[in-house]
Amino acid sequence: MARTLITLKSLLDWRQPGGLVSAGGHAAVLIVGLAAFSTAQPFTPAQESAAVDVISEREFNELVKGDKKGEKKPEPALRVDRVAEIRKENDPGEAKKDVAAEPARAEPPKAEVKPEPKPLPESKPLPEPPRQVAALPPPPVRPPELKPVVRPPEPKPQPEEPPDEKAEIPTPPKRPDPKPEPRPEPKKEDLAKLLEQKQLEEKRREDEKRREEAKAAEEQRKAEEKRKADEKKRAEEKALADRKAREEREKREKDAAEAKRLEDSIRQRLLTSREAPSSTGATGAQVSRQASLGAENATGRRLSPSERSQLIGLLTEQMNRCLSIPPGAIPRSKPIVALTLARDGSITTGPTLMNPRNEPGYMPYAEANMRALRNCAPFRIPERFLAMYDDWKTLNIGFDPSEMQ
Amino acid sequence: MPGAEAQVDLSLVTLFLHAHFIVKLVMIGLAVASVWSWAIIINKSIALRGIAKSMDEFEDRFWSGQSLDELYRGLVNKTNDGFAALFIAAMTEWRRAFEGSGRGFASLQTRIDKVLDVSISREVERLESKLLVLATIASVGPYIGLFGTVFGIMTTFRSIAASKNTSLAVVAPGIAEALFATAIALAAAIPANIFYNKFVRDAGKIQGRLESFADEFSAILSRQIDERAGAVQNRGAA
Repeated sequence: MARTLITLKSLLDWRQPGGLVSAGGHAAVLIVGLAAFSTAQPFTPAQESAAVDVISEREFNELVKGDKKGEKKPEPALRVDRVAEIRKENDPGEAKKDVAAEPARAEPPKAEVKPEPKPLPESKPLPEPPRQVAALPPPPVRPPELKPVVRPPEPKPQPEEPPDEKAEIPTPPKRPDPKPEPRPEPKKEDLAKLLEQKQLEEKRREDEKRREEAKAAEEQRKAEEKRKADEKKRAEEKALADRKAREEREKREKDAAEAKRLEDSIRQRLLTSREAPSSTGATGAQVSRQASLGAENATGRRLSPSERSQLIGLLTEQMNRCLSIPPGAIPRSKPIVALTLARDGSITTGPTLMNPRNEPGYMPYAEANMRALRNCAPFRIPERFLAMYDDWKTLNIGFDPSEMQ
Repeated sequence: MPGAEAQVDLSLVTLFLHAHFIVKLVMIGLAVASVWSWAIIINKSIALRGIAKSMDEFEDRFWSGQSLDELYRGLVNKTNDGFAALFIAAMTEWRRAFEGSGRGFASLQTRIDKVLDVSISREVERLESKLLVLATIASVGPYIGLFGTVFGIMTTFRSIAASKNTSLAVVAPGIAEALFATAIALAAAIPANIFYNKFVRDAGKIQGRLESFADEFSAILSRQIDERAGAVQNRGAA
């Protein structure tokens, strides 16, 4: 107890200020701690980083080109229905081991078997190989299917198509046709009869020459008979024509019904067909979902490698007119010169030597080339390159010294 | 004072108030230990610096050619530490030998050595006093804090088991409280350990200086004793 008192007293001793200082310091630390830890900082939800693409100036120009309000069109793409088969070329020595069958190989002969172009939807899934084998027998059956296609040349169905709707219209023109034909036939018979009648009448006339009073009556009767015969003949003719027309119509209707039935069966067959489309479609690297019209697009055109070398060749060819290389300045390295061209073929920036070296003859050679570039400055650039201006705006041209020798 | 800050949630005071009773005791004990250790650290560093300074001053005066008697008279009525304490103790013994009839020369050297040894050990004891407290806080403090943490986590798990809820919102405050005990313990123990090492080394250095001074002073006094003894014998012979 006494010790504790001494300790406490020593804490308040001026010569030993440790106790006071320590207590004060701890109080200060406590206050600072209270301030610092007064509120726990809640975790801020991690912000998702924004993806940033770094693009060159040219890409930016190509990107901006176009109408602001214009809708985005898909990239121009070739029409591709199925992915082109990639033939695996094995080393001859490895052929024994790797005998991977090429699945696409089995299909083409099948396509040859079916020459008939079917207008089936292309989206139809290809059937499995076994089904294909099962489907192979049909080809012999198909020839009947060919009929409807070949049908047009056949004479019968040709009129058959219209009759369905215009059954009445074609008949009238047909009627006059049979009329003139049957007329001579009945005439011969009637004429014979008439001749007989006439002969009889003549005999009767000769016989009853005297009865001339009766002649008028006779003539009247004759006219009557004639009229009657005419009427009869006409009736007969009409009946014949009617019969013929009826027969023809029946035949036509029968043909039409048969054709319709055939057509229906073909349609049914086509609709329910599970066969692979006989069209193998165009091939390409990947199936195109939607073939574009090949119209304008947001991205500008780029030079193809051949076009690029063509353009550089044009430039160097024009430049060579002004080129005079100091004798002996044939270095081993190839100087590369960068320059910026305007649309009209004039140089806007450069030419700048990209790879200066200390090699003997190198600098004179490079400078001669650059001088030639400057002197021949407005280059003629064919119009077809103007569309790709952004691509050839800045050019790096290498001057191969070995070509100079 | 704690009531005022209690309304601030998750503050140090809230952490303390929510803790278990034993953890609270541990925290209080550790806080007191921290205050105490810092008090010791401050006092000790002041004292050691003072002793080193006074020793330097005394050394200057001692070797300045001043008469030892004068030096003695100047220091005898003050509280002395370090070299001065040794010097006063040895000189008191010396003067006591000459106060009488001049006898007792024979064992004066031995007595002076003894007195010097005693005062050295007294001085060292004074230097090293309370360093043991620092050592204890430095070595045991973390264990006490760990005890508080373990106890806090224990109670946290018990409350998890009771509430059948393992969401972090339930677990976190308890663990924060528990870890607070370890934080206080480390805050107390780390400076205690650092300064304990420093003070032990300083005290050892001062002890070495005291011993070498004692040997030197003892040699000087022994020469004096021999001279005096020779003079007395010569006088006696004459």
